[in-house]
Amino acid sequence: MRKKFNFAQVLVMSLLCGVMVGCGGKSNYDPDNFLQNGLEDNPYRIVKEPVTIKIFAPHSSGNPEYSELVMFNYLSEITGLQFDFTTPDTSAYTNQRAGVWRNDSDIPDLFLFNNAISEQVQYMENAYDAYVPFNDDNYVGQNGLQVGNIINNYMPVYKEKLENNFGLDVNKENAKKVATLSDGKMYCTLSVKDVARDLTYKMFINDEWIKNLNEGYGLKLPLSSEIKTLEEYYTILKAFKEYDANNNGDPDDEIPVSSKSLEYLRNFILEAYGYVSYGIEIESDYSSYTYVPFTEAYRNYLKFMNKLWKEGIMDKNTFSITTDSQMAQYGNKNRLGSFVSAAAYLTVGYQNEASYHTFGPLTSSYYQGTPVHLGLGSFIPDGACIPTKSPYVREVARLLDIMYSDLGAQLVSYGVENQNWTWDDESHTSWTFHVPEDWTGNQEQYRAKITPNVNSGSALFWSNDFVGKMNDDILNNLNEMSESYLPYLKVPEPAEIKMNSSEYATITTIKAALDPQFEYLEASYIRNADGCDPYDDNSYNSFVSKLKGYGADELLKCYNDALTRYKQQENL
Amino acid sequence: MEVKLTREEIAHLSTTPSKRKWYSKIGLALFVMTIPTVLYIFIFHYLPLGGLVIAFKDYTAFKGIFGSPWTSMGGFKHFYTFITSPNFWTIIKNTLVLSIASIVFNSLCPIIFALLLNEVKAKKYKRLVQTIMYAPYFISVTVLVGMLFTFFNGDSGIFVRIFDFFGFDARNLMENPDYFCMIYVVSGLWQGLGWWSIVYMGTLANVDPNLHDAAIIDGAGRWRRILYVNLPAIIPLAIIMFIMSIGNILSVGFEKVYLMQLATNLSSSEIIATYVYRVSFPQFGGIPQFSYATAIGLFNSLVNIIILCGANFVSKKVSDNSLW
Amino acid sequence: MNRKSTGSDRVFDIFIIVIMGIIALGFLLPLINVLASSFSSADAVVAGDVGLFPVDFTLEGYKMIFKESKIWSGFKNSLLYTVIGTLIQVTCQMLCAYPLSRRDFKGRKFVNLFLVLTMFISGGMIPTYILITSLKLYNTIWAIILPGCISVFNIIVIRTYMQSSIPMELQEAAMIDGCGDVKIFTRIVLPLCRPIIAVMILYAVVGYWNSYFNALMFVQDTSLYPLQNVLNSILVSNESSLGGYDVNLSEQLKYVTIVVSSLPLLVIYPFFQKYFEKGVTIGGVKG
Repeated sequence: MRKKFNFAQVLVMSLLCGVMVGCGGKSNYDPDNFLQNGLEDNPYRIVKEPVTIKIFAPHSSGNPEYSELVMFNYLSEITGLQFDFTTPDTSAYTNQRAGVWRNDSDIPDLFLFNNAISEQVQYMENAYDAYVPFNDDNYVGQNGLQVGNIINNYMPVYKEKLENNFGLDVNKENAKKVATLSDGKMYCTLSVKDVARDLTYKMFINDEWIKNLNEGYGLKLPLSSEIKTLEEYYTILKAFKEYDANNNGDPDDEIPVSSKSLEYLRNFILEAYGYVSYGIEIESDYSSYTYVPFTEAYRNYLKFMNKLWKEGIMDKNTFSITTDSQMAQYGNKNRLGSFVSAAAYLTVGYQNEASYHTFGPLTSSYYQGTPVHLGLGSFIPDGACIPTKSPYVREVARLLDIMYSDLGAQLVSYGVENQNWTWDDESHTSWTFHVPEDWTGNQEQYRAKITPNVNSGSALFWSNDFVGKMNDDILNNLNEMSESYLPYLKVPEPAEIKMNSSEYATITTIKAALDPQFEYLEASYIRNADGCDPYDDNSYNSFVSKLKGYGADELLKCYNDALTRYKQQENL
Repeated sequence: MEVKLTREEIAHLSTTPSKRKWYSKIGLALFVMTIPTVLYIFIFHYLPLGGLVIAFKDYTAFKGIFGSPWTSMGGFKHFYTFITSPNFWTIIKNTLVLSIASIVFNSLCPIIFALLLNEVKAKKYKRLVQTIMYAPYFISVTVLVGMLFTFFNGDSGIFVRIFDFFGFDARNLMENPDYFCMIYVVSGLWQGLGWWSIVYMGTLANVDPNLHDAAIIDGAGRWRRILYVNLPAIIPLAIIMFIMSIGNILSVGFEKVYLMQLATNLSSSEIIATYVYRVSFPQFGGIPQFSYATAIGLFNSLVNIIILCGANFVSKKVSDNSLW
Repeated sequence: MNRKSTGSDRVFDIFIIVIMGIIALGFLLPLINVLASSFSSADAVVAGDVGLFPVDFTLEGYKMIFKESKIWSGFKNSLLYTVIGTLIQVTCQMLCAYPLSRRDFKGRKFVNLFLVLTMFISGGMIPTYILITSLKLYNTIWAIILPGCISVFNIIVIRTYMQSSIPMELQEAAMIDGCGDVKIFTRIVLPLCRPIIAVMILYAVVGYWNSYFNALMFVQDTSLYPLQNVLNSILVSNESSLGGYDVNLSEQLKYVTIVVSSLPLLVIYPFFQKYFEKGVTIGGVKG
């Protein structure tokens, strides 16, 4: 028995060890150290004596540590704030973030980037008082400090940009509405992106091939800029398939169209039938949400894809391709007619890049309304959150405001003026990025030493006003091509309309089962696998009923409930 | 070495009065020896088990594990959701198929391989073979799956060309749900065969040579000696390994399956682990369902443990080998 | 031992050699492909042109990898973690396995169950993270070494080995002779356990050398990163989407990474193999 006791004691002791460790002290906050309006010679100065701000942010592996980045060091220099970073790897981010709330001493002063809207809603609903509201006139800090309306008092730049909707059309996307939760408060600042190339996917087609066919075979195919309908596009693809479009003597080596795991091609073909999403999508008049696979338009899309597949127009490897480099295997050999990609050179290499041009969005005989194209949204409410436990609410707010200013937009994209880049002319119409002569890596690897934006794409303000003026042929070309889509962008699930937290939970659970089932069925109907046939009514009905069995209706209901609430709020 | 006792000596010793100290008699030293491990296991395995309680709660990071509210249905909501979810039986079936196939092949093949390799007399050749077989273990799963895709590529893949030679169309075989399990198991064997056989090689090395000599005297050939001397020597270990893999029957690893998944083979490649991944890391806008994911994990563990206990019980009755 | 080889024995030997040769060859070919890919140009790798020989031979990938100064610190860290971790792991496992192999050990059943249960149930990532931070291990080398250090699986393998390969009479005899448990363990059991110790050391070394997840989860100071994490970060930084000027290079780097990270292990492996064979002559009770 004695030994058993020893055991028990050991267990208890270690239990205590585990529980007891980890109680931190609170630092003393000096409210007079804060400079609301900066210094005369330095408007960016935030504090008299340096204080340390704890920042929690995701870190992409491969990038230098945040403390070495030019952007943060520069910010630290001009503001007088020092930064203490906790930067979990992106794949460890969710878990580590969940862990910090346990000890007050672990809670940072600023959660920068990746603040999930669902989490904000959840905390708001339960009145956890976790994050500082940015627009509460009567806000009092937990240390008794009268903070008031943060945006009005400490963030003049952000305030002004919110007021004019960051220069974007307020009827398309409304920054304030996106940022505001149902209790009328903003718990998080916005991530703003208005650079065309980052807002959408692009579809490319090989103009050289079209010219070859028109000249060599007397066809009258339209060039990329003239393709307007899906039928025209189909005719071109058909010709790619039939003739020796790349003039290499082999009429059979052309792959008319390929895509990375169907997903991107789907977006592009489906939009010719009037929808941009394979899941839930809002109707253009905001009347209701629709589950797209249940629409007649989607069935027509399936039929079209089935035709592409059967006629060998779609790459037979489409469903096996999961990476850009797999597509590059054909692209580099000038075998690809058309594809979807972020940029053509990724898929076909620099040697073929010039032949490919973007086109679309298309319409079809089925859908002849305004063309639509999948947009990713300019405003995302996930920028920055300030935990209420932080004493440095005002200081952090000032810091954020600087990050939304022109200076901040420059820093997060390409760094410090005259150090990392310079204006080309007096009137500031373009600027040039400087990569040191002795730098052996590529440009992006150098930029990774400046900003956390590389790899992650995180930025509070990724501004077209600055980034768009960069003196770089490839990127400018890309921007120009992307701009042709801008008037037609449609965000299928507008960020303004928010679920409540139980709906967020429900849709996550439903989608986890529904989406794979949908993808499998879609692939089967395109390939006629297991007797699936979109032309056959019985077969198609079983497609619909299977998806219903996976909760598609309940999913739709969650969205429409949220929409109803949103409308009520708007009308009141 | 240290011990050279003859039978007479042992017999002699057994008659001498015991000189053992009292603490030796009750095995105090043995207890002390286990303490570091027991402590470690307690701290690193049992303390975090408290986290399982979130399976019965609606976990929010802010409130933490113990502060989050209990969920409805007496805490069993998430279990109910899982069991009634439309893909429950599909993913259970897929998981079981992959798991059972892996267990059978991954248990048997290394044993057969070790027994055969042990018979190779040319030492250098044996070492060479072993080194080769063990090397694939270091290929990361990402690259392995990448290689599979390349080898089965519709136009140029090596495997496609080889199989074509035998009149079998292997183009994009990775897309075919019927072959998913086979590709999974065979590529797994390629990676692990040499590595898993190491522990058996270690044991075979220690088989008492006298037993072989005795068997030779009795006129046993090579096959019979493998079957009656070497095989029995590794059976206890083999059974233990088998029971343990049975105990992980629902825990098929996530990464490889996920990487091998394609839209076209989802009907046999969607397993519990990939479903949990979708629930824990939703694509856009969803809340990571920590509680739900934990509930599924706990469900898995319980099924595993029940099966483990069963297997252990059977093994104990039949072969006297058991985990505890 | 002189075993007379008979005719059928020789046939058997040849049969085994041929079978093993075929299997090994089958296993080898994809490996050669990996090796060849690591020396081929990135474009050839992506295009799937590489078979058994390098295409457009280049050392670009290796240059790229070894240019990083972090590689060497990664090597050094990995070495350190491997040595310390292996030492702790193997010592604790041996210490714990021995009592469990003794049927007269009073707490045997309890300890056994206590350990085995943990193999099939775990608390999940967040509690483990909280534990690591509470124990103040976050961002220290112990956060890399300790989680997952002692493996119950290994303990059971060792225990089974001890039960089946070390005659109980031997230990009983020593006991009667007045040997304490510690003495029996160090003088009798350990020497007889050499093969399994070699196996366990190999397992531990490989485990630590390839470990990746702990550093990812519990360490953010990249100067503490082991080799695997360093290699991974080089891979990732060549893979970025919009700045992906080097997507092809990153495909090739995958292969280079495998070669670089597994070479040290392949080199030490034969060293351990010797012990598996020597086990025969070292152990054994001579009657």
